[in-house]
Amino acid sequence: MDFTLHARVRDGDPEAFRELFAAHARLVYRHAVRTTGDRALAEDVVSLTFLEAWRLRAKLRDEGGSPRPWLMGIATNVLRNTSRAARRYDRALLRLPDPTAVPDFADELVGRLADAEQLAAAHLALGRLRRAEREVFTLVVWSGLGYAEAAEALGIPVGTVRSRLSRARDRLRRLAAQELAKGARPAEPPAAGGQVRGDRAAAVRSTKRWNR
Amino acid sequence: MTLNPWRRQEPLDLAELARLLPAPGDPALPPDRRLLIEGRLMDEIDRRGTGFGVRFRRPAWLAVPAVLAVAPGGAAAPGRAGRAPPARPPPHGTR
Repeated sequence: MDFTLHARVRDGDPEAFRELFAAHARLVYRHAVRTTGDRALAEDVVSLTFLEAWRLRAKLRDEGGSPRPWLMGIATNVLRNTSRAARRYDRALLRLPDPTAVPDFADELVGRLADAEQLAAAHLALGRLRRAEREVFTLVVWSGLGYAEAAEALGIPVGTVRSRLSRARDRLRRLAAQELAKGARPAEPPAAGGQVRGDRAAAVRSTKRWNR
Repeated sequence: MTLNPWRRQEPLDLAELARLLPAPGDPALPPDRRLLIEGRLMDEIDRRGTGFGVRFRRPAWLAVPAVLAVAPGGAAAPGRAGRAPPARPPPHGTR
Protein backbone atom coordinates (compact mmCIF):
# COMPACT_ATOMS: atom_id res chain seq x y z
CA MET A 1 0.00 0.00 0.00
CA ASP A 2 1.32 3.41 -0.96
CA PHE A 3 1.31 5.30 2.30
CA THR A 4 3.54 7.89 0.67
CA LEU A 5 0.56 8.90 -1.43
CA HIS A 6 -1.55 9.30 1.70
CA ALA A 7 1.14 11.44 3.31
CA ARG A 8 1.42 13.60 0.18
CA VAL A 9 -2.35 14.07 0.09
CA ARG A 10 -2.37 15.03 3.76
CA ASP A 11 0.41 17.52 3.04
CA GLY A 12 -1.70 19.15 0.35
CA ASP A 13 0.11 17.91 -2.76
CA PRO A 14 -2.33 18.47 -5.66
CA GLU A 15 -0.65 15.88 -7.88
CA ALA A 16 -1.03 13.23 -5.19
CA PHE A 17 -4.68 14.18 -4.94
CA ARG A 18 -5.02 13.86 -8.69
CA GLU A 19 -3.69 10.29 -8.38
CA LEU A 20 -6.24 9.59 -5.66
CA PHE A 21 -8.99 10.90 -7.92
CA ALA A 22 -7.80 8.87 -10.89
CA ALA A 23 -7.75 5.70 -8.82
CA HIS A 24 -11.15 6.09 -7.15
CA ALA A 25 -13.38 8.36 -9.21
CA ARG A 26 -14.94 5.41 -11.01
CA LEU A 27 -15.80 3.66 -7.75
CA VAL A 28 -17.43 6.79 -6.30
CA TYR A 29 -19.31 7.47 -9.54
CA ARG A 30 -20.63 3.93 -9.86
CA HIS A 31 -21.76 4.01 -6.23
CA ALA A 32 -23.40 7.42 -6.68
CA VAL A 33 -25.21 6.60 -9.89
CA ARG A 34 -26.56 3.34 -8.49
CA THR A 35 -27.70 5.09 -5.33
CA THR A 36 -29.31 8.10 -7.02
CA GLY A 37 -30.35 6.57 -10.35
CA ASP A 38 -29.29 9.86 -11.93
CA ARG A 39 -26.08 10.21 -13.91
CA ALA A 40 -25.89 14.01 -13.79
CA LEU A 41 -26.45 14.04 -10.03
CA ALA A 42 -23.86 11.30 -9.66
CA GLU A 43 -21.29 13.50 -11.41
CA ASP A 44 -22.06 16.26 -8.89
CA VAL A 45 -21.65 13.74 -6.09
CA VAL A 46 -18.22 12.78 -7.44
CA SER A 47 -17.15 16.43 -7.59
CA LEU A 48 -18.46 17.17 -4.10
CA THR A 49 -16.97 14.00 -2.63
CA PHE A 50 -13.49 14.85 -3.86
CA LEU A 51 -13.80 18.53 -2.92
CA GLU A 52 -14.77 17.41 0.57
CA ALA A 53 -11.93 14.88 0.53
CA TRP A 54 -9.49 17.68 -0.25
CA ARG A 55 -10.92 19.83 2.50
CA LEU A 56 -10.75 16.95 4.98
CA ARG A 57 -7.47 15.50 3.68
CA ALA A 58 -5.77 15.79 7.09
CA LYS A 59 -8.13 13.04 8.27
CA LEU A 60 -6.87 10.51 5.71
CA ARG A 61 -5.29 7.74 7.77
CA ASP A 62 -2.89 4.97 6.86
CA GLU A 63 -4.67 2.35 8.98
CA GLY A 64 -6.30 -0.34 6.89
CA GLY A 65 -4.33 0.63 3.82
CA SER A 66 -6.91 1.62 1.23
CA PRO A 67 -8.48 5.08 1.23
CA ARG A 68 -11.71 3.50 -0.07
CA PRO A 69 -13.60 3.47 3.25
CA TRP A 70 -12.64 7.09 3.93
CA LEU A 71 -13.73 8.23 0.47
CA MET A 72 -16.92 6.18 0.52
CA GLY A 73 -17.77 7.58 3.94
CA ILE A 74 -17.47 11.08 2.51
CA ALA A 75 -19.53 10.05 -0.52
CA THR A 76 -22.21 8.65 1.80
CA ASN A 77 -22.41 11.93 3.68
CA VAL A 78 -22.66 13.84 0.40
CA LEU A 79 -25.40 11.48 -0.80
CA ARG A 80 -27.37 12.01 2.42
CA ASN A 81 -27.65 15.68 1.68
CA THR A 82 -26.19 16.71 -1.64
CA SER A 83 -27.66 20.20 -1.60
CA ARG A 84 -26.19 20.91 1.82
CA ALA A 85 -22.76 19.73 0.68
CA ALA A 86 -23.08 21.80 -2.50
CA ARG A 87 -23.70 25.01 -0.54
CA ARG A 88 -20.06 25.02 0.48
CA TYR A 89 -18.89 25.37 -3.10
CA ASP A 90 -19.48 27.55 -6.10
CA ARG A 91 -22.53 26.19 -7.88
CA ALA A 92 -20.92 26.96 -11.24
CA LEU A 93 -18.31 24.36 -10.37
CA LEU A 94 -20.96 21.66 -10.37
CA ARG A 95 -22.64 22.69 -13.60
CA LEU A 96 -20.75 20.54 -16.02
CA PRO A 97 -21.75 20.84 -19.66
CA ASP A 98 -24.26 18.23 -20.77
CA PRO A 99 -22.78 15.11 -22.28
CA THR A 100 -23.19 14.62 -26.00
CA ALA A 101 -26.95 14.42 -26.39
CA VAL A 102 -27.10 12.35 -29.55
CA PRO A 103 -25.14 9.13 -29.73
CA ASP A 104 -23.42 8.22 -32.97
CA PHE A 105 -25.18 4.93 -33.55
CA ALA A 106 -28.69 3.64 -33.01
CA ASP A 107 -27.28 0.65 -31.13
CA GLU A 108 -25.63 2.97 -28.67
CA LEU A 109 -28.91 4.80 -28.14
CA VAL A 110 -30.72 1.52 -27.49
CA GLY A 111 -27.97 0.50 -25.09
CA ARG A 112 -28.25 3.78 -23.22
CA LEU A 113 -32.00 3.45 -22.88
CA ALA A 114 -31.67 -0.12 -21.63
CA ASP A 115 -29.05 0.99 -19.10
CA ALA A 116 -31.29 3.81 -17.94
CA GLU A 117 -34.23 1.43 -17.50
CA GLN A 118 -32.11 -1.03 -15.58
CA LEU A 119 -30.79 1.74 -13.37
CA ALA A 120 -34.26 3.15 -12.76
CA ALA A 121 -35.64 -0.27 -11.79
CA ALA A 122 -32.78 -0.86 -9.36
CA HIS A 123 -33.14 2.61 -7.87
CA LEU A 124 -36.89 2.19 -7.42
CA ALA A 125 -36.43 -1.14 -5.68
CA LEU A 126 -33.66 0.28 -3.49
CA GLY A 127 -36.13 2.85 -2.23
CA ARG A 128 -38.00 0.07 -0.45
CA LEU A 129 -35.21 -0.16 2.09
CA ARG A 130 -34.69 2.20 4.98
CA ARG A 131 -31.81 4.62 4.61
CA ALA A 132 -29.53 2.80 7.05
CA GLU A 133 -30.13 -0.51 5.26
CA ARG A 134 -29.79 1.13 1.87
CA GLU A 135 -26.39 2.60 2.69
CA VAL A 136 -25.02 -0.71 3.90
CA PHE A 137 -26.57 -2.60 1.00
CA THR A 138 -25.12 -0.30 -1.67
CA LEU A 139 -21.67 -0.20 -0.07
CA VAL A 140 -21.33 -3.94 0.52
CA VAL A 141 -23.45 -5.62 -2.16
CA TRP A 142 -23.19 -3.19 -5.04
CA SER A 143 -19.84 -1.46 -4.41
CA GLY A 144 -18.02 -4.49 -3.02
CA LEU A 145 -16.73 -3.08 0.25
CA GLY A 146 -15.96 -5.61 2.95
CA TYR A 147 -17.91 -5.51 6.20
CA ALA A 148 -15.00 -3.82 7.97
CA GLU A 149 -14.63 -1.25 5.20
CA ALA A 150 -18.34 -0.45 5.26
CA ALA A 151 -18.21 -0.17 9.04
CA GLU A 152 -15.33 2.29 8.76
CA ALA A 153 -17.07 4.28 6.03
CA LEU A 154 -20.25 4.63 8.07
CA GLY A 155 -18.58 4.95 11.47
CA ILE A 156 -20.50 1.99 12.90
CA PRO A 157 -19.46 -1.41 14.36
CA VAL A 158 -19.04 -4.37 12.00
CA GLY A 159 -21.85 -6.15 13.83
CA THR A 160 -24.19 -3.32 12.93
CA VAL A 161 -23.26 -3.69 9.26
CA ARG A 162 -24.22 -7.36 9.44
CA SER A 163 -27.47 -6.73 11.26
CA ARG A 164 -28.51 -4.00 8.80
CA LEU A 165 -27.78 -6.31 5.89
CA SER A 166 -29.75 -9.03 7.58
CA ARG A 167 -32.71 -6.70 8.04
CA ALA A 168 -32.43 -5.60 4.41
CA ARG A 169 -32.52 -9.23 3.30
CA ASP A 170 -35.55 -10.00 5.42
CA ARG A 171 -37.39 -6.96 4.18
CA LEU A 172 -36.60 -7.72 0.54
CA ARG A 173 -37.65 -11.33 0.94
CA ARG A 174 -40.96 -10.24 2.41
CA LEU A 175 -41.48 -7.75 -0.39
CA ALA A 176 -40.62 -10.35 -3.01
CA ALA A 177 -43.14 -12.74 -1.48
CA GLN A 178 -45.78 -10.00 -1.47
CA GLU A 179 -45.07 -9.17 -5.11
CA LEU A 180 -45.44 -12.79 -6.05
CA ALA A 181 -48.66 -13.16 -4.11
CA LYS A 182 -50.10 -10.12 -5.86
CA GLY A 183 -49.04 -11.39 -9.26
CA ALA A 184 -50.25 -14.95 -8.75
CA ARG A 185 -53.57 -14.19 -7.09
CA PRO A 186 -54.66 -10.75 -8.18
CA ALA A 187 -58.28 -11.26 -7.10
CA GLU A 188 -57.42 -12.16 -3.52
CA PRO A 189 -57.02 -9.58 -0.77
CA PRO A 190 -53.47 -9.16 0.52
CA ALA A 191 -52.34 -11.80 2.97
CA ALA A 192 -52.56 -10.85 6.64
CA GLY A 193 -49.26 -9.40 7.83
CA GLY A 194 -47.93 -9.28 4.29
CA GLN A 195 -46.23 -12.64 4.59
CA VAL A 196 -46.73 -15.64 2.31
CA ARG A 197 -46.30 -18.53 4.67
CA GLY A 198 -44.02 -21.40 3.74
CA ASP A 199 -43.36 -20.11 0.26
CA ARG A 200 -39.69 -19.32 0.14
CA ALA A 201 -39.12 -21.00 -3.21
CA ALA A 202 -41.70 -18.70 -4.72
CA ALA A 203 -39.83 -15.69 -3.37
CA VAL A 204 -36.72 -16.81 -5.20
CA ARG A 205 -38.65 -17.14 -8.44
CA SER A 206 -39.83 -13.60 -8.03
CA THR A 207 -36.28 -12.25 -7.83
CA LYS A 208 -35.35 -14.12 -11.00
CA ARG A 209 -38.16 -12.36 -12.75
CA TRP A 210 -36.76 -9.05 -11.52
CA ASN A 211 -33.31 -9.85 -12.79
CA ARG A 212 -34.40 -10.58 -16.30
CA MET B 1 -37.44 -5.69 11.16
CA THR B 2 -37.76 -9.27 12.18
CA LEU B 3 -38.18 -10.58 15.69
CA ASN B 4 -37.47 -14.13 14.68
CA PRO B 5 -34.12 -15.05 16.32
CA TRP B 6 -33.47 -17.84 13.80
CA ARG B 7 -33.60 -15.34 10.97
CA ARG B 8 -31.18 -13.05 12.78
CA GLN B 9 -28.57 -15.79 13.00
CA GLU B 10 -28.92 -16.93 9.43
CA PRO B 11 -25.62 -16.39 7.64
CA LEU B 12 -25.51 -13.63 5.08
CA ASP B 13 -25.19 -14.65 1.47
CA LEU B 14 -24.14 -11.65 -0.60
CA ALA B 15 -25.10 -13.38 -3.85
CA GLU B 16 -28.63 -13.85 -2.55
CA LEU B 17 -28.75 -10.24 -1.40
CA ALA B 18 -27.70 -9.10 -4.86
CA ARG B 19 -30.50 -11.18 -6.41
CA LEU B 20 -33.12 -9.66 -4.14
CA LEU B 21 -32.89 -6.35 -5.99
CA PRO B 22 -32.80 -5.77 -9.74
CA ALA B 23 -29.20 -5.68 -10.98
CA PRO B 24 -28.12 -2.03 -11.17
CA GLY B 25 -25.94 -2.56 -14.22
CA ASP B 26 -22.39 -1.33 -14.44
CA PRO B 27 -22.65 2.42 -15.01
CA ALA B 28 -19.24 3.65 -16.06
CA LEU B 29 -17.96 7.19 -15.90
CA PRO B 30 -17.05 8.03 -19.49
CA PRO B 31 -13.41 9.10 -19.85
CA ASP B 32 -14.33 12.53 -21.23
CA ARG B 33 -16.60 13.21 -18.24
CA ARG B 34 -13.94 11.98 -15.84
CA LEU B 35 -11.41 14.35 -17.37
CA LEU B 36 -13.91 17.20 -17.20
CA ILE B 37 -14.60 16.60 -13.51
CA GLU B 38 -10.90 16.16 -12.81
CA GLY B 39 -10.07 19.43 -14.58
CA ARG B 40 -12.70 21.39 -12.66
CA LEU B 41 -11.65 19.77 -9.40
CA MET B 42 -7.97 20.54 -9.84
CA ASP B 43 -8.75 24.12 -10.92
CA GLU B 44 -10.80 24.57 -7.76
CA ILE B 45 -8.03 23.13 -5.62
CA ASP B 46 -5.49 25.46 -7.23
CA ARG B 47 -7.84 28.39 -6.75
CA ARG B 48 -8.44 27.67 -3.09
CA GLY B 49 -4.84 26.71 -2.38
CA THR B 50 -3.65 24.40 0.34
CA GLY B 51 -5.11 26.69 3.00
CA PHE B 52 -8.52 25.18 2.30
CA GLY B 53 -8.65 22.48 4.88
CA VAL B 54 -10.08 21.08 8.07
CA ARG B 55 -9.28 24.11 10.18
CA PHE B 56 -11.75 26.17 8.21
CA ARG B 57 -15.43 25.48 7.76
CA ARG B 58 -16.51 22.01 8.68
CA PRO B 59 -19.42 20.23 7.05
CA ALA B 60 -22.71 20.63 8.85
CA TRP B 61 -22.61 17.09 10.20
CA LEU B 62 -19.42 17.97 12.10
CA ALA B 63 -20.33 21.51 13.02
CA VAL B 64 -22.19 20.91 16.30
CA PRO B 65 -19.46 18.90 18.07
CA ALA B 66 -16.89 21.42 16.83
CA VAL B 67 -18.82 24.35 18.29
CA LEU B 68 -19.32 22.60 21.61
CA ALA B 69 -15.68 21.60 21.75
CA VAL B 70 -14.42 25.19 21.59
CA ALA B 71 -17.20 26.86 23.57
CA PRO B 72 -15.55 28.69 26.50
CA GLY B 73 -16.66 27.14 29.75
CA GLY B 74 -19.17 25.06 27.87
CA ALA B 75 -20.17 21.51 28.49
CA ALA B 76 -17.99 18.76 27.15
CA ALA B 77 -18.74 17.96 23.56
CA PRO B 78 -20.44 14.69 22.82
CA GLY B 79 -18.13 12.18 21.26
CA ARG B 80 -14.41 12.48 20.81
CA ALA B 81 -13.69 16.18 21.10
CA GLY B 82 -13.68 18.45 24.11
CA ARG B 83 -13.56 15.92 26.92
CA ALA B 84 -10.97 17.86 28.90
CA PRO B 85 -12.23 20.66 31.12
CA PRO B 86 -11.59 23.97 29.36
CA ALA B 87 -9.47 25.46 32.16
CA ARG B 88 -6.87 22.69 32.01
CA PRO B 89 -4.23 22.31 29.34
CA PRO B 90 -5.20 19.78 26.68
CA PRO B 91 -4.13 16.24 27.52
CA HIS B 92 -1.31 14.82 25.47
CA GLY B 93 -1.38 11.31 24.14
CA THR B 94 -4.93 10.73 25.30
CA ARG B 95 -8.25 11.01 23.51
